[in-house]
Amino acid sequence: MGSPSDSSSPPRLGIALAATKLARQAIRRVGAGDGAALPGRILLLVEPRALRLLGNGVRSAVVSGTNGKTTTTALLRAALGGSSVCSNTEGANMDFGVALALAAHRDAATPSGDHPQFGAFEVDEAYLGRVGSEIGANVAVLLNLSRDQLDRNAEVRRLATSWRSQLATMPELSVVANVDDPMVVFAAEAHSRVTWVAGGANWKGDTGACPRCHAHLRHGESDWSCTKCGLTRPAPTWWRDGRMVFHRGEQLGELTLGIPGSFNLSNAVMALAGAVQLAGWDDAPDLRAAMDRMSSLRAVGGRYGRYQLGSGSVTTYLAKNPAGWLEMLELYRETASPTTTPLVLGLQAEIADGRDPSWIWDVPFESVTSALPSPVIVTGTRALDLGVRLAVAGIEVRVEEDHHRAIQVALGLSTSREVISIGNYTAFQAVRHYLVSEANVR
Amino acid sequence: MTRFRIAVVYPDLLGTYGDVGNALVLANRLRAAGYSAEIDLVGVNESLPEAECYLLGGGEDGPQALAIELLRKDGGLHRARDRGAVIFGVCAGFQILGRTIIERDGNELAALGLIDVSSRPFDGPRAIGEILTERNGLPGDGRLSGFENHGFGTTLGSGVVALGRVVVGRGNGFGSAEEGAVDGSIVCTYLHGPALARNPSLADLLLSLAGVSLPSDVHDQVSLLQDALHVASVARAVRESGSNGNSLMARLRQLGVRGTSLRG
Repeated sequence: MGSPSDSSSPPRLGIALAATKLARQAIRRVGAGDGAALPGRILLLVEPRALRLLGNGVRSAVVSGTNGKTTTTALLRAALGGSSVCSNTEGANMDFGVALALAAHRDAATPSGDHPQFGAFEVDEAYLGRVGSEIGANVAVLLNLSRDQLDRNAEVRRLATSWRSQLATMPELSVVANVDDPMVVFAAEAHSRVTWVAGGANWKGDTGACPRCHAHLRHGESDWSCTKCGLTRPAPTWWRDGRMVFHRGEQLGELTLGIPGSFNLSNAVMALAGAVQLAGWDDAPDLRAAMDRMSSLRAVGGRYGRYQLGSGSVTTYLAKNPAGWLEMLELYRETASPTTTPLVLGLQAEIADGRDPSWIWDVPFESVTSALPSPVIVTGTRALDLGVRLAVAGIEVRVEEDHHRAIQVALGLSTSREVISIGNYTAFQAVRHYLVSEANVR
Repeated sequence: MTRFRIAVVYPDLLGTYGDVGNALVLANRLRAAGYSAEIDLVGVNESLPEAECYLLGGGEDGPQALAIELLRKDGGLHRARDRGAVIFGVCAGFQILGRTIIERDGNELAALGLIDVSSRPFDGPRAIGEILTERNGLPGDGRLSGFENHGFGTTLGSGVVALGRVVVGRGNGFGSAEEGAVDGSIVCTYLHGPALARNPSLADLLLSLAGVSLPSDVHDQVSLLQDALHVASVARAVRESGSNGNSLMARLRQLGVRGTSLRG
């Protein structure tokens, strides 16, 4: 670390870091999970200013939004240079997770003169202001806001309002915001340094009413505007047409990603815009090099992982809320044929998922019926809830609560030897653990 | 084919908890019975259409007050009650239909007054979790299961009966062991799930109030799955209340151990 503040950092931080290290080692020894929560909490408990002290001297971007945080952060990290960039890659995205990532990076870092040090952190929507201001973030990449896990985190509008007031306290911050999500535009519009990006938004379920004045919001083919207060989609300076990326009207080149989905192309444009703000690149060759680096990203925390199982293979997608399900169903439509590639859908309602799975009724299955295979295999502890949802949409289902059975049945039905599996958090993890134990990752 | 119109009232304001599923379930059941079912999602800038059944779902505090203001101005729901149309209110939708809501600051908010019930905040924590109720005279096994998630409770006035008696969960609260409310063709509940997806008998109750007679021999995929879901949901509620699972989880949550590092 080349930060001048290092030598003067208070002894308390040193104690906090030592305690954190011990806790991490202890947790690893007993094999209790990935071990981010407890050490991170200890760090902040012993030195409450740890985020500020550790963040000092690191040029960092925070990435937030309901969906795509982990993937966009991974893309941003790749664009900025990959493993040298400090990042909370384990997905612990609250204050302690970011603090722990900074602490770990400090441990590993070798002092290197004037080389600028970058940070790319995904941050929980509710922690954006706190983490952003404490680490002195230079850039905030704001993806989207929609309903998520309702028994825990109900109010989308309240989040957007709180983002708005938090951004107002950080006038130096450079904001990279998605013009296609009215909630994000409402949060960012009053800020003086915004880079607008066409980051895409399939889900319109939370923006039928204007986030600013509650009047009817009119959604057009590619734009939107409020019928009363005039809040409208700003003109983006970054956008894409298919794979072609445009910046201020100039073609930059084609994006090729190692992860699927047109929404990930949009995430990549958001990440690229964020990287440019952070690194201060001005030349097209710099940008193209960053695009090349993003193309090497293959899987992110098991998302989009493809697993070989006997002579077949299973690809796993994670979808945690209505907007995420809509995106993953679109991805199935883009990449698979319903006649040859069976689809396994998993639903559970554990604490990490939110205990009320009612939101599955907000997923517009009716609009994708014709693109889905028959039957769709439903699995997980709430397979019946999901089964009723699909059946009401006119989709034939087969219920296999057990994940192993569901995957095996799907492989048996597959004529392409391919299966796609989509699940919410613990359903996705259960399928993934099964596949990891049985298969070889390709 | 007989036409049956279902109006979903302000899903922008009262559609936060998946309750729009109630409309999908009702329409599906009607179509199986040979009706032509139409769903109208009524936006905040639209006037309430004429319909056979009106559905109001859960929502947040601010939008709830706005919904009351708009519905009072519109008057369509009062006309619907006078014609005997079925009105089904869930959670915030339940409270809106009542007489008054005491807000968190103690202020008394006049609600729509379509049913004689009053709501006020709980003294303690929100009621969040699986709920199971029982009622004699409901078709099927008389049980209703759902997920409750509310910080306000409700007391019933004269002429209003509860929809069910609480077996597991909190319901209307304030020590009453009652859940929901029924007065004529107005039916209210705190159950999400959505309620009609998990309890086909409740869907049939609403349809019978609307004068729809359903054939008893529908055994399509939806009704078979719904019956299985109902049985599984009831069993889950009993199981979770029987063990100490809930209180242990609540304790762990207080300690901050709740998979916080799992969110992506």
